[in-house]
Parts: sequence; C-alpha cells; structure tokens
Amino acid sequence: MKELIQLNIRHKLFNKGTLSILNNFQLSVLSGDKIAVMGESGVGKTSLLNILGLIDSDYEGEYTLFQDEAKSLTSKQRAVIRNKNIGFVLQENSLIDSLSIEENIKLPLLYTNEPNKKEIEEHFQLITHKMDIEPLLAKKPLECSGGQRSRAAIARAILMKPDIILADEPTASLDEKNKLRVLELLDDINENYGSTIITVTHDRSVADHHDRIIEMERED
Amino acid sequence: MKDLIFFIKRIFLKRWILVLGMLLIIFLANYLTFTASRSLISTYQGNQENKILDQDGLFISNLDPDVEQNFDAITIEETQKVYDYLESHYEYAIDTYGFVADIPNTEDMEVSVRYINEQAYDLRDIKLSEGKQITFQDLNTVKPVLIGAGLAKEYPVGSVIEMIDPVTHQPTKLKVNGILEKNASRSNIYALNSKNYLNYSIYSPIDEEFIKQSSLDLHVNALNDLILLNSSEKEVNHLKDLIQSTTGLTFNFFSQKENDKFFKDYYMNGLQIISMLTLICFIIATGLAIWNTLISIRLMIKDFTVHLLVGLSYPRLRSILYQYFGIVFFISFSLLTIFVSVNRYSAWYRKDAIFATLGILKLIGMDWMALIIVLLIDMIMGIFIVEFMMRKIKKIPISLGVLT
Amino acid sequence: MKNSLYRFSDRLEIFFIYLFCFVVNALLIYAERTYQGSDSLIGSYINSIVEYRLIITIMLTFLVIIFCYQFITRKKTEIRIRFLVGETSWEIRYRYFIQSMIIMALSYFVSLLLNIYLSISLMVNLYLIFIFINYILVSTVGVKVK
Repeated sequence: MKELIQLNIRHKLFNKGTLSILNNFQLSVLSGDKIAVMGESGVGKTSLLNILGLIDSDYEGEYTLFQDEAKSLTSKQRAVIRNKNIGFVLQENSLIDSLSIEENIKLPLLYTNEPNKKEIEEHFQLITHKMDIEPLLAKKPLECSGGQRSRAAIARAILMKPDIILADEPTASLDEKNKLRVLELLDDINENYGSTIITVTHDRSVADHHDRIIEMERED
Repeated sequence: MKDLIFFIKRIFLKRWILVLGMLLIIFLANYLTFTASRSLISTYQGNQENKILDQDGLFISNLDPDVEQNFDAITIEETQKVYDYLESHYEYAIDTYGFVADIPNTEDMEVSVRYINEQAYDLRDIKLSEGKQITFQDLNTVKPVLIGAGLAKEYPVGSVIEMIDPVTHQPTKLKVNGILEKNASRSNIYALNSKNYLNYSIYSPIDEEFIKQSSLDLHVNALNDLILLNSSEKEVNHLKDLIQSTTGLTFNFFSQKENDKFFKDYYMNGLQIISMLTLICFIIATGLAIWNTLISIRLMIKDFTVHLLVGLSYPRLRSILYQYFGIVFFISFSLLTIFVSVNRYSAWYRKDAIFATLGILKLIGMDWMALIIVLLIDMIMGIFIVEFMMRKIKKIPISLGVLT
Repeated sequence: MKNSLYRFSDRLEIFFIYLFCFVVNALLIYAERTYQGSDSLIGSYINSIVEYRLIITIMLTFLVIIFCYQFITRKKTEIRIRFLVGETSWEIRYRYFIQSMIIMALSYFVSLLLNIYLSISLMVNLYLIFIFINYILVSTVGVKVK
C-alpha cells in the first residue's frame, strides 16, 4: 500500500488571525485506508476536508498528495485532480436543483476529455444500478427523497473512479436504513475500486465502520 | 466548449431575468456612448469642413436671433436692390439650399436643389467621385450641374435632366457634369454637428442674371447663407445697414475669428459637458452592471461551488465568463448597430432626402467610428466586470461548508 | 417591521432603485423641456436621448424586476420557515405587498423634491408608479410557500 497523503499543518487562521485551528495537525494516509474524522463543531473537520480536497490552500504547513506538494500545484492542476482523483460525498444538498439526477451525476464529464465515452457510460449504468437510482435519473433532486439524493451524490463522487473519497457528514440527515446503505456503498467502493475513504462524522456508529478513527479536539 | 454551453444554458439562462437585465444596462450604456461619440465626431468634421472659411476679410451672415423679423413685408424689389448693391460693391459667395425639385428617381426622393455662385464654388473644395467640376460660363441654355451619388445611376455623367426650376418656376435643362462623393455633406456653420447629406441633391450654378430671375425665396435664403470675401468691418456694417433699411431684416456678420472664438467658447464647452455627461452615465451603467453581477454571484454560488468541486478551475471559470460576457456584449452591440441602421433607414422611409445616407446598413463613416469607440468601451467594461466577478468569487470561501 | 422579509439593506437597496428611476425620468423631462427645438451641440445631443425617454425609463424599471426576482429567490427558505412557525401564506404575501408599496411611496415622495426644484409637474412620475405597482403585484404572486 503506497502513501497517498502526507499532511503536516502548523495552523490555519480564521477571523483575521484571531482564531487558529488544526494546530500541529498531522495525517498520513495510505491507499485503501478507511479513516473517520470525529470532533465537536468548530474544531476544523470541514476545513481539513477543504485542505485535503485542494479547495483551500490558505494554511501554514505542507501537504503532499500523490507525491506532489499541494501548494506547488497550479489552479488547473488542482482542478484536474479534483476531477479525476478525488470524489466528494457531501450531504444531500450538494446536488444542483435545476439539473436532473443523471445530469448531476455526469457533471464531472464536463471537465474531462476522456476519450473512452463508452466505458464511462457503462460505468455510469453500473453504479446507478448498484445505487438503485435508475428510475430517478430523469427526476430533479427535489423530487427525490433524502436517501435517494445521498446515493446520487455518491454516484457522482465515484463516476471517475477516484483514488480518494472525501465524505463530509454523508449520513447526517438519513434514517438508519439509508445510513447503513450509504456505509455499505462506501465499503463497496473501498473494496472494489481501492479508493481511500476519509469521512467526517459526528456519529460514533459511522466512525466505528472505519478502520481508523481520528479524534480532533478543540484547543482552548 | 461543452462547459461554456452548459454554463450558458443551465446556469446563466436559468436566471434569464439577470441576463436580460445585464443586456439592457449594457445597451443603454452603448447607446449613450454612441450618441456622444457621434456628436463629437460630427462636430469635429463640421469644424474641419468650415476651416476654409478661416480667412482674413471673410464675413459670414447670420439672421439676428434676438430680433423679431418680418418676412411678410419684404418685396422682391427690395431684395433685388440689395443684390444689385452686393454685385457692384462686394465679392460675395452664395451657397443656399432649401429648395425641392420634382425629379423622378427610383427611391421617390424629393431632390434638393442647392444654388451656388462661382465665388462660393471656388471657396468650397467640392470633391467628385466622377466627372468634372462645373464652370460658370454659359448658364443660359443647358446648365452644367453636379448631382449627388444617389441620383448617379439614373442620371450618369453627360445625361440631361429636365425640371421646373423651383426658384424661377421655369422649365430648365440640366446637364450632369459630375457626381458628388457618396455621402457628401454640408455642415451648418452655426451648428457644426448638424449635417445635410447631398446624395439626393443637385448643385446648380447661379450668377447675377439668375438671381434677377429668381423668386423672393431664393433672395431671402441666400442672404442668410451669404459670405462676404475680402471685405472689412466698415463695409460689412454698411451692408448690414443697407439690408436693414431696404428690407427690414436684421443680420449680423461675423468674421471667422469671431466664429472661431464662438466655437471655442460655446462648442468646446459643449463638448466638455457632453463628455462629462457620458462619463457619468458610463460610470452609472458600470455600477448597475456590477450590481447585477453581485446578484448573479449570490444566486449562482452553489452552482459555482459544485462545479469547482468536480473539476472546474478558476482560470477556466474566468475564460467561461469572458466568453459569456463577450456574447452578451456582442448581442448588445448588434442591437445598437441595428437600431442606428433603422434610424438611418427612417430617412429613406420618410423620403427625407437631406438625411438619406448611402452605405452598408445605410451607415456612414462617423457611425462606424462611433461604433468602434463603443466596441472599445465595451471591452473595457467587460474586462472590468469579469475581473470584478472573479475577484468576488475568489473572495467567497469556496468550501464544502457553502453547501451545508 | 420585525416580521418583515425585508432587512434594512434590502429596503435601502430597493428604495434607491425606485428613486433612481423617478429621478432619471424627471431629469429627462427637464432636459426635454429645456432643450426642445434647440439645435445647439448640447441640445441636439440631449434631444437624441430624450427622444427615447419613455423607452429608456421603462428599460430602467427592469432594475426593479431584477431586485424582486433575486429577493424572492433568496427568501424562499425564510418564507418556508415563517410558514412552519405559524404564519399563513396570505399573511406573508400581504405584508410583503404592503411593505413594498410603502418603500415605493416613500421613494416617490422623496423624488418630488427634485420635481419641485426643477419646477416640473409632480405628476410626471405617476406612470412609473403604475408600472411599479404591477411589478409588486406580480412579485407578490411569487411569494409562496414551496
């Protein structure tokens, strides 16, 4: 198993430097890892995912992803990595309401010049069948239930077979049945695609589903 | 390309009210810029045209606007006295207009006849596209004339036009000696931006004999367009008094230096005011465009965030925005061009010959120049809006938190 | 106005949009009157603009449409929550309509100061009020619980 992520943050500042989070935070992730990140509100879990997902580069520290130092990547390179190598699983409202479920799932295709459209289409068919959202493809997100929207968000995240899945409270507004379903899907992705899963969660039962749990604490 | 089309169809046009709003704002800004630019260009052209009047001893007549003039009481005998006196004591140029002849043409335009004497003809450097300049030797049989470019097809050089002269009311034969340049014009000396186009005009040469035969209309009109050459203040004042005592009309005579001063004081002041007004309107329009943009960002931020997450980069977003606004500005520019063209066409529709222009979409040089200025202004505005938008989007912390 | 959908910044924004439309209309009418028949440089420039006074003013009223559209879009969640906590759909709409009318009326009365200063009729902006009332009525229909 190769090392995918090496993160060493000295701090990240907010509110014009009055608030400092992720102080001396270190993280090492190997490919295929399943990691849960827990902590109370405001401790910096979402900020951590922003940094890992190459969305935020305003921090003091070093972040090595796929052997590249993140801060040395250009804006275009970051976008390409987000398109091909990272999948974001967020809460259900990360779908665009004006697009159909199918359009939402296929959104990453706008930013790729993948020549093998047939292969992607087959993969699309496979994952929508697996997620049991085939009947919903023509519908809009507001016409679907919370569980269906979550599954659609996961489908979008794995369309490009990413190396890393970053999940931010993916089960937060789901009932038990749908929560288990989402966790099973994440397990499946981890086993079949070898994707590394990093999940931010408040839920202990969700965290226990992972191989490693990182507890983040607020520094007073 | 596919991402641009997606952005336009599925993000921008979904909020078509904002797109329409931006289009209206930009169109208004474009129209104001165009109007100001064209006024300034037209004024400059008029000033250049009338620079030939910048000579010592040259005086230009002008009906006194502060005096109530009684045209009904004038008789042709009185005005003829003035012309007799002019003929024997002054060197004078007449280039008068406002007369219409019934000359058949395919566009059914009323043909305007301009009467010009030899001194005025020598003063004005009339450029021709075809044919020869006219001479003033024999004006009694077939008169040599210059015609506007709009009449050239039907009345080529060498052809003879028969008409009832509008000031002598006699049948007259005119021989086409030359064709004026397309869109040749004459600017009003006292309103330099105001032009009469000569595409459906005829330049008819006149002499002392012709003036004796013509109607009161020509006599009075010509006095209003009178230019005295190689004269002096004393002589001019004498003429002024003569006209006043003979006809009752009060004229002023201004030297070109006085006109120049008038131009500098009045026109330059006017130009500065127009420029300032246009700048203010442009700033307001840009402010409104920015306001519209801020609203767009507020409503589209979730779309931008999700697209950034799945692979859109900031440089690509900037490129998309430039292309999108490029399209919006292009539509606005096209609408403006059509609007200006329709305005020009309306002169043809009304059969208003002195405003009828020739050219692609009936647009002339100053229109194209003003449109180029609008294009430049649009580019500046477009760059400003896109860069502002990018700056604003980058300032909003694009974060997974935006989506919760 | 603590039950209002309008925040102070919203009220200020729409107030100035209305005022802008009223002021521009009044200024164009004043310019039309001052430069009527003038063939001076400024006169012909102004006349080429005031010739289209009605079109320009109506185009500018579109700013109100833009504001109403984005306002109602942004307030969707707030409208839904107000409904959830006990307000009726009718009450929300009614309050929005009345407050929109009040802001518009205030803006109109402030604009009258300019009319007085320029010695132009106080009625010249009435047609704009008619247009704005229509916009407010249409936008009120958009204030609905989803």
